[in-house]
Amino acid sequence: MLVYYLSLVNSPEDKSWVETIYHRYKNLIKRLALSRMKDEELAEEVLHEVMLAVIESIEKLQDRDENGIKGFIYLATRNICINMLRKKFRRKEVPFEEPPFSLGDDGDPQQGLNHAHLLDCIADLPSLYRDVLELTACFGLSVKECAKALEISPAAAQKRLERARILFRKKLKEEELDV
Amino acid sequence: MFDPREKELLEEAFAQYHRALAAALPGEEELRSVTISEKTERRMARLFYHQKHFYYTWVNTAAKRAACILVSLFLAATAATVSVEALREGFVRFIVETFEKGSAIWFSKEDANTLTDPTVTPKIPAYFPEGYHLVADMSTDFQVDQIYERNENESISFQQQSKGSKMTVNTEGVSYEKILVAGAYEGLIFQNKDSWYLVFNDTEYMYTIIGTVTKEELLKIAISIPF
Repeated sequence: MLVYYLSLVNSPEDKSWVETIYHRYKNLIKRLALSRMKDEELAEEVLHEVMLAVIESIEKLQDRDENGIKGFIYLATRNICINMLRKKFRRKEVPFEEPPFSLGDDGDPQQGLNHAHLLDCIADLPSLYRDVLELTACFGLSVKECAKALEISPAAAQKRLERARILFRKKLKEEELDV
Repeated sequence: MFDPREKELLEEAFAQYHRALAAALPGEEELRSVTISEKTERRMARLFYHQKHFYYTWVNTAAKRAACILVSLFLAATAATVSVEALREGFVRFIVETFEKGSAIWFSKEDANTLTDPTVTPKIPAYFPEGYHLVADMSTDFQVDQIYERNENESISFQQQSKGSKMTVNTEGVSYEKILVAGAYEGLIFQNKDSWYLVFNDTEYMYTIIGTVTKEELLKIAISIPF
C-alpha cells in the first residue's frame, strides 16, 4: 500500500510540501496523539500514520489554508488514535474529547448568514457524522476515499453521509438557515 | 453529491469550524516542549527520502507477510511440479506481483523458517564509485541501510537484511533479468527511470543496491561485498 501512497507523491513540489507539513505540525500531532494514547511510542506511530494520510490526500490539501490543514490533521489524528486503540485493546467505545471551542459571534451581515449559528450546526454534530461530511463536502473526498480514510465500509460511509446531511439540514432549520 | 447552496453552506460552516478548532488547539508555545524521538525522526527522514527517490520503496506490511505465507504454502503444495531449472535456482524466489499502479518483485527465502538469529553482521561493499560518500546510515541490529551520495541527484542505496526478510521493489514498467553475482549468487537486475536495481543473496543475507550509476558500476559494488 505504501508503494501506492508514495507513487502519488511525484513532483518535487509535493515532496517539499509534505516535508514542510511534517516539520510544522509534528509536535501538534504528537501532542494530540499522546493525550489519547498515553504512550510516547504509540503517539509516534500515530504521527507516522497521520503523515501517510496526509500523503494520500495531498491533492485535496495543498490548496487549503492553515486552518483547513489543521482541521484535516486533527480529524486524521483522532481517527487513527481511535482505530489504533480499538485494535490494540479491543475497545468498542473510544471517547475522544473535543477541544473547547470559542464560539464568538463573528457573523458577516453582508452574507446574510449568522456565522456563530452556522458553526453550531457543524460543531454540534456527532463526530461520527461530522467526519464524513468534512471529508466529502470540505476536503472533496469521494465516499470511497472517505470510507478508506475512516477505515469503514463504503456502504457505512454512504449511510453516515446521508444521516449527516439530514442532521445538518435539521440544525440549519433550527437555526433558521434553510438550505 | 451536494447541491450548490448546501455545498456553499457546508464550506462556510467548515471554514468556521476549522477556524474555531485551530484556535482551540495547543499553540506554538505549548508545543515547544514536545520532542520527537530520534528513531521516529529517522523513520520519517527515510519516508521523505523515499519520496524524493520515489522509484523504490520497501514494503513489509502485515498483509504482505500474509500474502508471502500463502505463496509459500502454494509453493509447498505444488513442489512436485517444480521444474529442474527451479531446483537449480535453489531457495531464492522472485515473485512478480501486479499492483494498482505498476508491479513489484517479491524477493524471499524458502528456508526462512530455519533462521534462528535475525541479527545482521554488516558486510559493506569495499567499492563505491569515486566521489560517493555516506550521507545517511539508518542501520539497526537487524538490517544495514545506508545511503551514499555524490551530489543532489546521484545516490546509491545499500541494504543488507537477514534471509528471513521479505521485501518488494517497485518495478513499474520495467523488465528484469536474472544474474549471477560474483559467479555464485543469484539475483535480479533491472533499470527503472534513472536508476539501476540489483537484488540478490549470498548464503546468509539478502542485499539490495540501487543507484544512479551504470549497470557495470552497480555490479562492481556488489562483487566488492566481503561475502
